[in-house]
Amino acid sequence: MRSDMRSNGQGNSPGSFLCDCGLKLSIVFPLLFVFYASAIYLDLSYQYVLAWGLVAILWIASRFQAIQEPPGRIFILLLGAFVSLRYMVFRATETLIYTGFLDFSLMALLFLSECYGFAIHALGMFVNAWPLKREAAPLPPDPSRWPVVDVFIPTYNEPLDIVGITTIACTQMDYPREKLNIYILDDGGTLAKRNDPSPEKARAARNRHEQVRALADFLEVSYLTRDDNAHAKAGNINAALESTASGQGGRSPGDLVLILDCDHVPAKDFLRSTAGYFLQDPKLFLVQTPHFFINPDPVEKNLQTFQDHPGENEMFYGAVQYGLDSWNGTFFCGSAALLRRDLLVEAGGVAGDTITEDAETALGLHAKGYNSVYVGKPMICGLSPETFGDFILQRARWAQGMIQIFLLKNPLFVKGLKLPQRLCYLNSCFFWFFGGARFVFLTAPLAYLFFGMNVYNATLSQVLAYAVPHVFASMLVSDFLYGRVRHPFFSELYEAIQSVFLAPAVLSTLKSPRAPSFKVTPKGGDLTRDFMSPLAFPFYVLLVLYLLAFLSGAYRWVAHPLEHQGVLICGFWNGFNLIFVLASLGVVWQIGDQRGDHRIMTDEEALISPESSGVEIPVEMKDISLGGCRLQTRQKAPPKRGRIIELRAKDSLGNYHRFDADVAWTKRKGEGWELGCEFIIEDELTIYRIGSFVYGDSNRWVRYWEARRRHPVGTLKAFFYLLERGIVGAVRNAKGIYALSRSALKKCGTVVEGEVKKWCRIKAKTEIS
Amino acid sequence: MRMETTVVGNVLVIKPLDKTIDAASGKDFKEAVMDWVGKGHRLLVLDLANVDFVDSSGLGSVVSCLKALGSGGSMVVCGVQETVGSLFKLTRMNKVFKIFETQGEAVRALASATVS
Repeated sequence: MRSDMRSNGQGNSPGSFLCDCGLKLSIVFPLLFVFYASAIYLDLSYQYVLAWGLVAILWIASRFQAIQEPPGRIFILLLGAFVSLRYMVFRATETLIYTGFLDFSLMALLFLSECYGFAIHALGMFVNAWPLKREAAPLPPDPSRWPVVDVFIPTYNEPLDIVGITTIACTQMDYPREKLNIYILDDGGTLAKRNDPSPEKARAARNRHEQVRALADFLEVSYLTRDDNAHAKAGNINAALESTASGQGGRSPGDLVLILDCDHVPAKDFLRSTAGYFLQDPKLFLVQTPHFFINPDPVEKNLQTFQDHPGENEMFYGAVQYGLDSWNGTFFCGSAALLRRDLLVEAGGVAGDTITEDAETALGLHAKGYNSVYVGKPMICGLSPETFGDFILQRARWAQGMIQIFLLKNPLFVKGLKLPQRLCYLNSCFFWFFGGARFVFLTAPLAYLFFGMNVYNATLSQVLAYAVPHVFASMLVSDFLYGRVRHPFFSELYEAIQSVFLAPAVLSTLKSPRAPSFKVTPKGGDLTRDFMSPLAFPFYVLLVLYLLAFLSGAYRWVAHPLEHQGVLICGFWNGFNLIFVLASLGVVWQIGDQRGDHRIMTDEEALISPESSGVEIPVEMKDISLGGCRLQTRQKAPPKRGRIIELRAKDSLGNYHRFDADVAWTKRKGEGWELGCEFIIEDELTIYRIGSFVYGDSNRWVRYWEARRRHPVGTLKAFFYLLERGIVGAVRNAKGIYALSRSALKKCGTVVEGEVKKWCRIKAKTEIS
Repeated sequence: MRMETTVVGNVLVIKPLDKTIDAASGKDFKEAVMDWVGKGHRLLVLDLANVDFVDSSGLGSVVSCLKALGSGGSMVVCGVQETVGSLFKLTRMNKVFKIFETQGEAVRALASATVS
């Protein structure tokens, strides 16, 4: 199968490469050697030399560009695996000592968490060993040979303008309109909802039904709803697959189905860049593309890291998916994906046994022997959850769903998958146990600092000979694999922030695998004021515990002179954890903003002409939204505020755009000026033209991602950056609490004052009478 | 297209009685409005209380009436139902037309704008 794909010009994959070149054995032998050599006992002084020597080689070797590609890449991974495996063997054979039931239980828990960490690290290395960057698969010149595409936009309760913009963008895709059937799948206006026993809910559902239907009519696309809301989004898509099986309104049904979350706005080139793969491979069921987010998630927003650092999902879409693709293991991510209709129908539609129906569906189709493709160019633009609560809700769903797959459809045992695919899915499911492991890492040093429990039996020398090189090697390997798309410590930060909430969610799923139900991730919420997330409390508890642990550690240092090494190790560990909690406090203090439309940062040339001036002024467009844009000019005397200008631009696809805009504000910047412009709405079609310009050009999103990935950050710099962000975030949080307390006290004072005055008045009246 | 018209001072209130403004009725609407504009009415209130759907062409007709009035006239909208309101919001027509809840508010706003 892999050879077939390669012959179709789809690039190299490890499967085919290994088979074709006979490299399988040459990788198996070093791997066996790594296993063998990891178990060889060495005197501590030799271990020092070996471990630190290998870390040094790893550090130097990973700098060379030539080693980025296989087989050099495999060498780096094996080297890292060797250092880490020696540590794990040391941990298993020399540190697990029974010193009491409670001590041993916690020690075992910590060890299991470390085993988990090592396993997920090793699986990550495997998945990302041989990333596959595919060549484009252009459609044939004759459009009559292009497949018919049904676009499904499932919606539940999202604001109508969000659904509307996505639908408008679908109508603007560069694809023959007669081969494009666009459907809004409205689960907010189902028959069951319109007949809800609560009159208020029923009225709201009827209103929504009418409004979404009117929207669909207005945009000249089809509206679909169903009787009930069974199986949530999966059920909604399956109902649409059934009702459009013979096409609608005399049109042919789609050969392919494009599934878009209702806030995922497609660029013009989406179908032109993806549909061609289906013509090359009849067994292809999926082309998945990245989810590009226009707005920061709550972590990026509240720690203000959005502009300088790759987004959280870029590690997945910018590295891991390429790795999964190389093993034919790319999975469906619920949106921004094109699927072959007949294969989807053959599989019984979108699966619904778990709440991550997308990954479950892909697992089923991979098991049937069908193929997937990952195209790494971002071609949809969507919205991240905006509040910390919504973010956790989304992650808890992903965690619970992937663990449901692990329990109910364990990829190790599903029939039909190839071994690499099993490992890919295992990696994707197993990853979500991080909540438990990270929680153990966050709390383990407390057990020693407070109660002197021996959760980690090793001397400082052993830690320096085994543990620290392992940590360094893991970080070097992670940096090697993901450095461009994930800066050091950001994975740990995200895990730490989520772990407090995901650990219980995962435990509840382990207890009742079929209990979790699908909850829609809220998008486009209102956040005009700063506020404290209701989920903040656990981080304050951790902060207090960490600070008290330092005091307890200081006492232990003085009172138990023989325990200096233990206090030092756990104190350092506790300090490291404290940074994450400080950053978490910054995250839970939600920053409000007064924005209208979400802006996309850009850097492109344009021309402006002030109204009836006949002059053309070159400008750089710095950001753009549906409402307007920010421009920069070197002109000494730019158009003044209130002046109408004509803006002319050309996108990277060669389309010309022209808009009238109002200069809303001007600001001196360097030698020139910055202008804030608002687009003038001329008529009912202006929004189509604006939408087409703002969301049509996917290369703008590519440039944006590349700009954020341009400057990989070293470990030390990343550490201090995180420390600085943590302190700034925690101070902002403290100031927020101070302001809240002041206003509460003031309110309380006013109430008391009012009551006192009232009492005085009553008393005076009584005295007079 | 059936329409009810009322003259309040120098303001003409136009109230479509049909539920829909589409390509066909939009054309009638535009012709009728042009007729009134030709008769000297420059301040118009469009009361959409009865209208529950406007398609793209219908909305286009309404916009072209506004354009035809030019800088010497004005047209505001009132009584917009939720379905039509969401279409106005999506197409940003709320930036093109001033929208009022009731006919009275719309008439007063137009009249006072003329006085000032």
